[in-house]
Amino acid sequence: MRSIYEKWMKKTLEVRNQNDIKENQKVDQKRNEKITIEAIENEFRYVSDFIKMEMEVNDERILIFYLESIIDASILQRHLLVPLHRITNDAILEVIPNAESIEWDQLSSLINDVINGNTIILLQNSRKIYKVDTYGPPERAISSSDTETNMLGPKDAFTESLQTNVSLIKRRIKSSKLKTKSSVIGKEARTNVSFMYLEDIANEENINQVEKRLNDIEIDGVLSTSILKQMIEDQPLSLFPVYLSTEKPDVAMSHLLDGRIAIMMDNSPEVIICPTTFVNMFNSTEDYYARWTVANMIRMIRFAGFFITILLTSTYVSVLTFHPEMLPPHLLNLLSQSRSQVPFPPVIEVLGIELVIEVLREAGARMPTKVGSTIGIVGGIVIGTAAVEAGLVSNILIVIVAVSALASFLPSSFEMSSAIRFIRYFFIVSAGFLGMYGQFLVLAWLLIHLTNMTSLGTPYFTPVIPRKWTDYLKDVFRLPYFLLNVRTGASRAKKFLTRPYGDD
Amino acid sequence: MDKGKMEKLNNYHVLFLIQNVMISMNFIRLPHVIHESGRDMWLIPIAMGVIVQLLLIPMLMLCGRFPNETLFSINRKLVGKYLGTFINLLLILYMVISVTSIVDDFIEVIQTIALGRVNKTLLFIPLLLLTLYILSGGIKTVARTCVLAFFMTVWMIYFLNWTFEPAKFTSVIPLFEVGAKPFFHSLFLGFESMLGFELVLFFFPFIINKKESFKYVTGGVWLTVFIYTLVCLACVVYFSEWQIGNIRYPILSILRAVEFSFIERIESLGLSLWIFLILSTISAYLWVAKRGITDLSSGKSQSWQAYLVVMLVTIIFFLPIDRVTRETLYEWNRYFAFSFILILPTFLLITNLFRGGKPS
Amino acid sequence: MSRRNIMIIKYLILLSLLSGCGTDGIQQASIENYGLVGIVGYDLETSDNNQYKVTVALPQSHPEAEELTQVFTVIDKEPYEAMLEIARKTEKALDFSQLRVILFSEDLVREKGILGIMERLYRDPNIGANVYIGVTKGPPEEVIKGDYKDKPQIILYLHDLMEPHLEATFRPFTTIHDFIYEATDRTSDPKVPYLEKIEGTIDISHVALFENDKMVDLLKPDEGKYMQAMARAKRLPSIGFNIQEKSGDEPYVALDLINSRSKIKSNGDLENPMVNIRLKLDGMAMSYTGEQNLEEANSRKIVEDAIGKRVEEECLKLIKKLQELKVDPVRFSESFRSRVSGDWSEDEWRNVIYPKVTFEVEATIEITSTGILE
Repeated sequence: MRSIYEKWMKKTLEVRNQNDIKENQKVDQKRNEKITIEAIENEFRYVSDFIKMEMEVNDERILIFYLESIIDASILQRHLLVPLHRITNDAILEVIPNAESIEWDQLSSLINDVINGNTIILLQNSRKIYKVDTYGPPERAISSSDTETNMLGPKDAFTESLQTNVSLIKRRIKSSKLKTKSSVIGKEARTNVSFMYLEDIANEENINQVEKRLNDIEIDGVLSTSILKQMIEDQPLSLFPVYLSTEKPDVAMSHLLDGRIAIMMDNSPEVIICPTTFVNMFNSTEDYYARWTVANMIRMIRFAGFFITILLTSTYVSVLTFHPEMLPPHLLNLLSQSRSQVPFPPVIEVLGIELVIEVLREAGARMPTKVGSTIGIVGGIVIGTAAVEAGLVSNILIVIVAVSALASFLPSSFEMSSAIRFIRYFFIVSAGFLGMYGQFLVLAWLLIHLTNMTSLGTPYFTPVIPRKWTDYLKDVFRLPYFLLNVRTGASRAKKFLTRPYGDD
Repeated sequence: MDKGKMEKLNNYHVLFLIQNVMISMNFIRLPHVIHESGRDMWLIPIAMGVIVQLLLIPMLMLCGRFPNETLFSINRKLVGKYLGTFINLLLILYMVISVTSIVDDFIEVIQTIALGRVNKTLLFIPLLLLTLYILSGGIKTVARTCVLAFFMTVWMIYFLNWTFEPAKFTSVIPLFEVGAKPFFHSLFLGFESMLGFELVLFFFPFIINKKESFKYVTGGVWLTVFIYTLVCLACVVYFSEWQIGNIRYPILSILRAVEFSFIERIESLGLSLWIFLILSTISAYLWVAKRGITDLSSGKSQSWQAYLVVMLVTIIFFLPIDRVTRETLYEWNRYFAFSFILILPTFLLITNLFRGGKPS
Repeated sequence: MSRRNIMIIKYLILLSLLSGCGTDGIQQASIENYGLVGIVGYDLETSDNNQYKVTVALPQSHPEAEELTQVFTVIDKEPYEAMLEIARKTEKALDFSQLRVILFSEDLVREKGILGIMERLYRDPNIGANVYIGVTKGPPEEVIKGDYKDKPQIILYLHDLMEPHLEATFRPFTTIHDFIYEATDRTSDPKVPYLEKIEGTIDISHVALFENDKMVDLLKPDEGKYMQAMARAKRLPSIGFNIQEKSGDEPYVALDLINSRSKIKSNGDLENPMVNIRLKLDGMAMSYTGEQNLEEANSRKIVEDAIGKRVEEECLKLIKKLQELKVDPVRFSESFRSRVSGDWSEDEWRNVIYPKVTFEVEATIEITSTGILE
């Protein structure tokens, strides 16, 4: 795919590429230059929050640089400015123990440090440079998640700060085996990315794979983990999300304990879990908080919901268009009465109503909460009722479409639920042309596609393509807790059992 | 995870590959085809199973002597370059024509039963494209399609209890009511529904656990035999002899009697589900044909080879020849298959033994 | 990986391109465009016995339609041709995929075999296997066109009436598949419910007995119950008896909610044929007015035996009638066929063996409860 795209774009891309290389060379020249005050000032020209302070203490001319917007003013005051006045000679480490020394020929690294919220102390007389971490940008407080809500269990959610997110996990898993590897992504944006795993459980291959993929990314900046996720996918063109995104620390914790890897990024409240399987997208940690009986029932409803969404409306189309013999007499009577005035073929009727539902959902999502719910009611009741009364659609179809729309929201992953809604249109259109034959062709394609997908090298459709048969006990069904003592096969954990076997 | 490795097929892959390649269009009319054997028809699948079992012995012995080679390269090695290539070309042609006949048959049934108003091209092209998609994934995807096909369709056996309900099991006895001649004639006619197991000659090098493969191949064959027997038994109980002789697709007629409060007459549904069984069969055959072309050309698997075999199927499918010629073509193809599975493996095995060939 | 994805896209593009040329210029129809035939009735034209009179009923779905069912009648030599003639009369495409009931007039089934007509219908892939068959007294047209109070849809009414339900097990629920099976099988004869139109309702009053595909006689509902019991129906509707008691009284007792089992065994000897039928009925005794106390095990046994005796008598009476008519709806011959190897001849059975078969019926009755009153 990429090769075709590049073939098409060859001319444009090549010229641009040459241009960019030249630009890059200009920037690269700056590396390893000598640090001078002019050079620093030059770099931060027109950066309005760049502050340069000068002071003189005990015959030492001290220059201080920092970016006002991302440092914590109180830290600067208490731990830097106040102690600096006590300085004697150049023994800065005595008064500010956490200062780090910088070499004079590291201009680019100094600039980097300033950008990352360090304050630079330049001692002009004794020709020394130090940096002190004063990073403290404004942050959102920890609150509950809007997208993943639950009745039971912890309510806290990740925020946009990487530090906070790491600490939310660390306070849940207090183990030195919980490792965090960090790197920086984005040539311009330089965002911190870390991934966490439990060293004694997570599979080595997976860890290396994640590290390699993160290092291979070349981009100017990443807005959110949702984008990062798309850049490290095994099949970037697939319709399905192959990694789970979650805003909830408890979800991340459950996957970490299962031997998976959590990737988190600054500025992004979602954590990527990899590898994930298809069924993981349908499950939620609330299944484990609830009693096992209820949880099992809910899970079955979710899986059934998947098939209902993709097959229900398309079956309406194919039965009404091609296979009227399948209707029992009373159902036929109902359907033909409600269809009698509709001037469109069933395909058009269904596509129309499905699109209306999609529009309603989108309009509701982009509106403020109060307006959004009003739109839902107006759309659902007013349009629905009026369309039926006008004879534009059959009332049975409204019921069917509503059920299928509701069922599409059952998966716990929002991305999965969007993917399902999209696939549904393949089914409807092919049912319109080829009836059930078309529906099952698409179903066959869908299932084969799913079986071929991998998530970080692990089969995505896992309990269906068995890794370990015990996956059914945890991912598909949910055993009562005293029996549940295995990790999933998908994570290929080093330790398979969660507790020693044979203990009473 | 097993990219780059030659050996990709687990034990259960082997079982379902064999089983689902065997079940395709022929199954849908099997009871009708063997109706001459009357009330003894359910014994025919068992007899066929025994024959297949016997045929498998030389096949797997041959494979065991060349564990890393498909029949194509074994051919060239044992009978010489030119004759071997000629046989390989015939084999490729056999695979392609088999696929065409299956697809042709399937589309004809779909048109009669479910989609009378849709034209042939529209039914043909998506099916073949989907096959192309499976082919691009290699033998493992083909095997996975087979596993999927099994689980997607096996629950239809439940509907056989519609037929068993009226307690007419005495229809089965007395055994051996018909004479030997009609019995063996139906055995011969019905044997085409066992075709497919010969593909083990081609995917054997891809099996991980070669030592145990005989067990799983046998398992696949007898699973098929079990399903065939069950269906034939249902047909004996449910239909009168006149009915079996006159109904072309007895399985669909059984599905036609199904009744639920929300749906009934699910023969269209059943036929659409049959897509899985068709896909598993034709993609396996085409994979073998593609493998043959790979062997003829460079030895490297490339995507144009898949396109080529699919194009061949398309050309034969749309060839402007009349129905009778077409049927003759398919019939000759069937005879070729019979002689090929009967003679070739034994012949090659004997050649190898004569030359004192070392089992590699 | 990417190769596969290109193929997905190609498939989708092709599917959307081809969709334009798949319809051959004929508008894609859906259920409201079809005339979904619900009932077909066959009758002989009164003046000319070689002509068939075919009646067809289609539902009308438009909310403002005055008649909910459209009925057409056509006379033609070929019953199948007649349907094509009807197709020309309606604005909709005639479709038989929703056919529910096929009715034949008594005249037709008594005079001519109906296997030919049934075969044509059975071969049509549109027509299902669960279409119910009925024989009407008088022309089926009258039944179809009749006015039934609060039953606006004759198709639904007839379908629900013919569908299997417990209260009506005295008669068979013959579908087109059953009829073809029984007519073509070498060991059985079809049995079909017999419909009469009586003052605004349709009454299934008898069971029509067939010899192959020609009707020979009718059975009354009570006889029908015994026939069904012997033919292995699992559940039966209530049966009432007048039983003999010591005192000479003949009190009435009814058995309800009956579970029945039957076993037909033959000696397999065609020269000296004998059939033994074992019936086991268990059910609830209702409205017993005799002298025995049913709460007591011993006296209950007496009543049970008395009922058993009546059942045996009734069965033998019925079998005698069937033997005289030379029809075998219970499949007695199957018990011989399955024990005799070699070709089975239906004619020989009917004319030579059947009349000389000695029948023996053993009925075991079990009263499971006696209702709520003392």
